[in-house]
Amino acid sequence: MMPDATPLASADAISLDAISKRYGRTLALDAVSFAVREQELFALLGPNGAGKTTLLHILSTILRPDSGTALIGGMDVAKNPRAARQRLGIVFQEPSLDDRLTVRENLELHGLVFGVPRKIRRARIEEMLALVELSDWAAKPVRALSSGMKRRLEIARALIHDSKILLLDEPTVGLDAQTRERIWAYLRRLRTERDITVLVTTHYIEEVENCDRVCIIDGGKVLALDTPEALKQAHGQSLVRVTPLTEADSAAISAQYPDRLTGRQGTELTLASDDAFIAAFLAEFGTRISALKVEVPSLETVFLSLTGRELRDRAAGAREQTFAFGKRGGEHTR
Amino acid sequence: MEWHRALMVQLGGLYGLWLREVKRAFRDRGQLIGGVSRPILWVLILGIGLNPYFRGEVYGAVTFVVPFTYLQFIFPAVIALNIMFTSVQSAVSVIWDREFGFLREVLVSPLSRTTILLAKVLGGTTVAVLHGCLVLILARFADIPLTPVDVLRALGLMALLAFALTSLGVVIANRIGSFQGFGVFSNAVILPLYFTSSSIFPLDPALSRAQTRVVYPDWLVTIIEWNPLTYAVDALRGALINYNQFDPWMGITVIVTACVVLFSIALYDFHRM
Amino acid sequence: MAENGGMRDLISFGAVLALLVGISLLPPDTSLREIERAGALRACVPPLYPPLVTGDPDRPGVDIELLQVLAQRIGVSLVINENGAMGRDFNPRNWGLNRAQCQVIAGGVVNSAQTRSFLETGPAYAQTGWAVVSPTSVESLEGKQVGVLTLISGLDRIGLASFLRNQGATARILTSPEALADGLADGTLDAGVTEAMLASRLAEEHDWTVAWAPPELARYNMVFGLWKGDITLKRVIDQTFAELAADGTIAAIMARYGVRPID
Repeated sequence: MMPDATPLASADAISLDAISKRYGRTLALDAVSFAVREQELFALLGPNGAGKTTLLHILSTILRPDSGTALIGGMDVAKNPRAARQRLGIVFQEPSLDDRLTVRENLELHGLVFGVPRKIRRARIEEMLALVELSDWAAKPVRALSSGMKRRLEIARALIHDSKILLLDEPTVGLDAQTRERIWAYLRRLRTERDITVLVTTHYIEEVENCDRVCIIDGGKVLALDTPEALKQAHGQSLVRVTPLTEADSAAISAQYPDRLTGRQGTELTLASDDAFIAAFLAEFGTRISALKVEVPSLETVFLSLTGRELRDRAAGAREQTFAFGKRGGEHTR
Repeated sequence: MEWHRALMVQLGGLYGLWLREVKRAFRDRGQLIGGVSRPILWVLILGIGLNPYFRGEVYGAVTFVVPFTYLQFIFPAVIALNIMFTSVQSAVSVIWDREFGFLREVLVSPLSRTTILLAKVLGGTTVAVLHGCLVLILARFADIPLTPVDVLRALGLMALLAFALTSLGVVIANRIGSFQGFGVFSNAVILPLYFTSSSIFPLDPALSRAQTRVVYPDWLVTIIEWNPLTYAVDALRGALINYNQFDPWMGITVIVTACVVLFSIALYDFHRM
Repeated sequence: MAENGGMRDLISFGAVLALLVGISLLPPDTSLREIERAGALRACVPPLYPPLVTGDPDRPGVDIELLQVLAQRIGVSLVINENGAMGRDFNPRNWGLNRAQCQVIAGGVVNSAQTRSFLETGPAYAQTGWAVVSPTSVESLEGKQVGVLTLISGLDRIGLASFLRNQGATARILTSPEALADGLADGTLDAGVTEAMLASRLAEEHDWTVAWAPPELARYNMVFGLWKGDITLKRVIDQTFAELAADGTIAAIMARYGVRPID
């Protein structure tokens, strides 16, 4: 989807102004400011530990920022949390469904908790179940669902009340490629069908290509914020991968472009490129190579050039241990 | 009418969360099996087993003159035991709600924390009273004739007791970090409270001064007298077998006080969380 | 896996209920089985407690006849064990009874806290207490000449004495029903006070009026005593008494001894 395919509304659905949050000595968020426009599909991209979840928790009123203001639909989340919550539909990173209740009971409960009148509640439950294609599963206990289905159910649940803004924290983590694509399809459909603003965090780069705008965040700082195309233009890098005919050719190419050489894999060389470079390269080495591949800029390269590091993974803490205990079927638990 | 609408939202949420607690309890086979096996073991096996040794007359000698059989004596305590297990078990699920994210889903709803906690405690109370009623079904077996008034009085006391114990469970659950099982609760809280509440033996079975006074060591008597559950069990005995070891008002006073104090602490913790 | 959550909840709850109700129907003890095995129901009664126990083989007394019907219904024979200590007071602990002597204690067991602390009690079949008899009905005993016939009844004599003193009545202790009849006949007595069932029989014989003594003096239900924990036996007795009351057997036995409910 091209960014200009959706008209951008003038008002901001979410606006953050210099939000900071500190955990002990770690600065999780460092004066983060940005705005999400209405009906935008907005992605927050960053590695684990970048501060995405912290930011989402502040928006969902669970955490209070140390400083700065966050507005949801023009309402300050710190001053008026209940009104803000009424507008938010939230899908947390860890499933927060009740495993022992059925699919429909989970949705019913959410409707009751958010004070949705019975008639609207009933109608919307059916509508949302149809949207995420879980109508046939309505009477099943949630524990019988696959993790992809649970995610879809959580998205449906976040839309049972009059939510105008949908916050999703890593909605596709741990899911297979097919299910991930399906979830994104729902999100895109939703935005057109229900006039909804969607804010998604993810660390899967390939997913954000279809978003209206992407905010790249790392170490609690906003590194870049723009449409995917503009980001690629600004920070991306074209590459050519060439396979020289002989060792001597390879040495000659390396000697000619020491600055552009970014990688070597077997006999294949990777060179940083631009339009002018390819023409010049072909003129000089066109007869001395057996293959040449041109790679256009991707967000992959944007991300790497901005953060300069690999995705990090966390170690299991006390919380995960308890979680694992429950998973093992710990006594008298779920 | 703004406050009216807000109140309806809170009440609707209260009902929804309460219903969830009750439904979950029914679907927890482990809890249900415990709720059934405890009365069976305590009433059927222990009660019948000790019944002959507890009656006024054993092989011709008059020992204790008491207005009840052992089965009748232990019966109200088994109700308290079942309520205690179920209440604390329901309350401990706060830990799971917290760790598995369900609590977060509720915390981002328009419900106030007081409503959320009240729903949790009332849900636990309901389930615990139902488990208490499982014991009441065995009343005929223990030869306890029950009038509707007796049953109502007992249900009232059971509900208050369950409310206090569920609050206690929430207070404890809120104060522990990670969780490695319910066994800790059962062995560290429930069973000690139960055994030191004069539940399985009368503190002083003598009804008149002419009888032999049975004197337990001071330390045991002190523990029993300091255990609030002693008075709750005593109140239940008053309602079911018409026998009180202490002032009949003592029980109800202790239970109501415990309800107020423990719920307040739970509320304070929950708001601070 | 069941499709419907609610349905499954109901099924598991129903199973639990059925299990517990089933268990509550198990026999909790062996008392009835022992009686059936021995083929005899042993009862402890006082030697004399008219009209409950008369000592007359032809008209043995209300309690003896009730016990006979009861034994017959259970399908065993009745063995009577006389106990001299009974009837002298109402505290069963002083009767020197034990389980080896009898399974049922009859003939003057009243349903009081004292009794219940020692014995299990069967259903009430009559009331006892002090009753007033007189040729014509009396409004109050104030200033009257009252004959008191206590015999062996374990009712509270001290309480009666102080009550009569408070009323300003003159009490005369009598030793036989005949003395009471003579006194009332020749006018030396205005009224007589005695145990309610005896009073009812005497009133029937002599065509007197009979009334309960004022409520300040306690009334008790007459019951059969059982040993604590003999629940299976108690259930059979409760059930049999309900049947006997329903088919009029109890009333018929009472009538044979001239015992009528007062008022």
